[in-house]
Amino acid sequence: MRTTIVICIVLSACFPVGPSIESSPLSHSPRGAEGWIQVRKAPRTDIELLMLTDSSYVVQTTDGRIAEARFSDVSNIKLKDAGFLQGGAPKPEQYQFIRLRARFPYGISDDVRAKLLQKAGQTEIVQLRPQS
Amino acid sequence: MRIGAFRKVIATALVLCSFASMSSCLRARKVEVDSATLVDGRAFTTPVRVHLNDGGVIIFQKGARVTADSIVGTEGRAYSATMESLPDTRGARLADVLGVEVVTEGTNVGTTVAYTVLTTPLAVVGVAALAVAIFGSCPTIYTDSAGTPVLEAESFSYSITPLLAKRDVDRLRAQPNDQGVVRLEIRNEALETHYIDQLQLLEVAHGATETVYPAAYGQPIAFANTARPYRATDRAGRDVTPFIAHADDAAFATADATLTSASDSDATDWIDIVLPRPAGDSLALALRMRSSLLTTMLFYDYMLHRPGAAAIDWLGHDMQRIATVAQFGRWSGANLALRIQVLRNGKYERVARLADFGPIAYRHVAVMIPAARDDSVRIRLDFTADQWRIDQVVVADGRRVAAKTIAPHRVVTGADEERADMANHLAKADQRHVMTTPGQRIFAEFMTTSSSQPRTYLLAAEGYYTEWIRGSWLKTPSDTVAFDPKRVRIGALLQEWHAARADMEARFFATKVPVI
Repeated sequence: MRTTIVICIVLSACFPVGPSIESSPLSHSPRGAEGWIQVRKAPRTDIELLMLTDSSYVVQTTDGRIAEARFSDVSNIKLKDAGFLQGGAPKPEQYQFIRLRARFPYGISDDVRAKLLQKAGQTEIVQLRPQS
Repeated sequence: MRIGAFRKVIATALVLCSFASMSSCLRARKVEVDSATLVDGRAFTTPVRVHLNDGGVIIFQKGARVTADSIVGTEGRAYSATMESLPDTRGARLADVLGVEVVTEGTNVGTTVAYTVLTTPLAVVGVAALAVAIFGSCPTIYTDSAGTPVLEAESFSYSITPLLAKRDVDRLRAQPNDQGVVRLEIRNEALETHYIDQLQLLEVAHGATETVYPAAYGQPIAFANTARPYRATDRAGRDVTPFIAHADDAAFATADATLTSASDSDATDWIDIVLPRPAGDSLALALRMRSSLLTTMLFYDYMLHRPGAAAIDWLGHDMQRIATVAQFGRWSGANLALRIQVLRNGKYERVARLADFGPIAYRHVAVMIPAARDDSVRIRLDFTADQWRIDQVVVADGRRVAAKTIAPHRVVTGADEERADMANHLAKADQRHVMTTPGQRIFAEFMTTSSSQPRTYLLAAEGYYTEWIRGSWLKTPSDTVAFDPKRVRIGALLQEWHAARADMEARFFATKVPVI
């Protein structure tokens, strides 16, 4: 029945709605997905996703700080067009889905890391830790 | 959610309707991104993001082509790792490329089905009455009382997009059956798709004389030694004490004089309440209230009908953006919330702001308030005129109480099919939703613990819903741009509401979608 529905939609020359490829930030913005992250017992922080490591999200907060939140410390994360994720390590398919929406989906070198920190006025990446 | 029989009906109707009504078929797009393998001669016709070793990125919006040693395209917008814009480029050497992503457009099949069915002639689906359905906006929660469904609550009324998904807590009258099970029926009785992320029963043990309400903030509140108002007066000078003294559904509504004189600069109504002060040190203010249909009119007419097709992009795209949602949240908080103020040292001090109530079921909520030394407590509730139906306000000795959370141990569909996967999905607030479409229902069962101590049960629900855009709305737009809170003239809105109120209230509950 699902196939029937898809064929029907195609045949009936449907009027398209929702985000188009032209309007999607992925088509014209170099930045990563925007959203918010929440580590345990801490308020939400609005962020741009910079990259994923094996164990953490690296983000830029809206006040310009480069920060890292370990998967194990994150209680919730929500990214535009990527939905809502509960804390802990993302499942492999989720990890891949999120990674491709980061500003640096293929990771960064030490040089790039240094440039980002310099621009943010930091010497180290800020750790987003759970609050007690 | 796969509720077999109903989906088949919907899908079959779609096949018929799509051909019968091509002009009203809508395709929901989704934008996808994937890594690309770079092979000599490969051409991409959609936007390409080229990530460089130095952290920079080049975006070829019109696509790109791979050669033996480079990737090339036209109008490549280049950016440094720190997001400075660089001169446009025509390509990059493959040796400098870390990876390439290709952006493509697909069809969101599930959403397309919803859009299409709602814009096709509803008579084909066999529910002609739905054409005038205005009942909404959220899942409705029922319990069974000797064979009669009793409306207990409505959940996440405010959550009209995923970014507004939030946890709602409602008080239930339900008690466990002989087997210790609390069984709730969760219905979709509106032209909406509901995405339910989590359902939790909160079990609160309390004293024999105490009543438990969800708190506006934090843990539930148990209260006793309840005192009813001495006197309550609204802005129009009416004695409204009888409306708010008892939980009897004869609720306070704004006086016509206040509503008709509301303007853009002064649209507020208030109730000043004087209550006897209970003896204890910790005071709780407990309220039973619901939203009026003013919010429903605002949602259906201002946000969805007037903008026509722009409303679809507003819901499906704009309201997926943090900035838009934040602006919307600020506006609705300022205009649709009820503020509770307590008189202290001759001045009213705000102690709480209540929002996110639905128009269908009365919700109970309690707030701890500062205890003055006077023998009376003076409260002011202020709000946009006629936004609320306030049925009871009392003050009492209150205390915070702990709640035990219970996940559903069993979920059954309306077709009596047990669904362990749904019980699993509803156990946690994660990305796994149970989706229901109009007319569907599920039954969630919770196993409680036996005890001789009195227990009150609360339902915590998290999720969101998407409204089905009516075909008639698309055909008769009166605006060309999407809803923008900054353009709302609250005085004009209230005058329109005054004119429409009686008809809307008469039709609202009569247009529920029957469940199967």
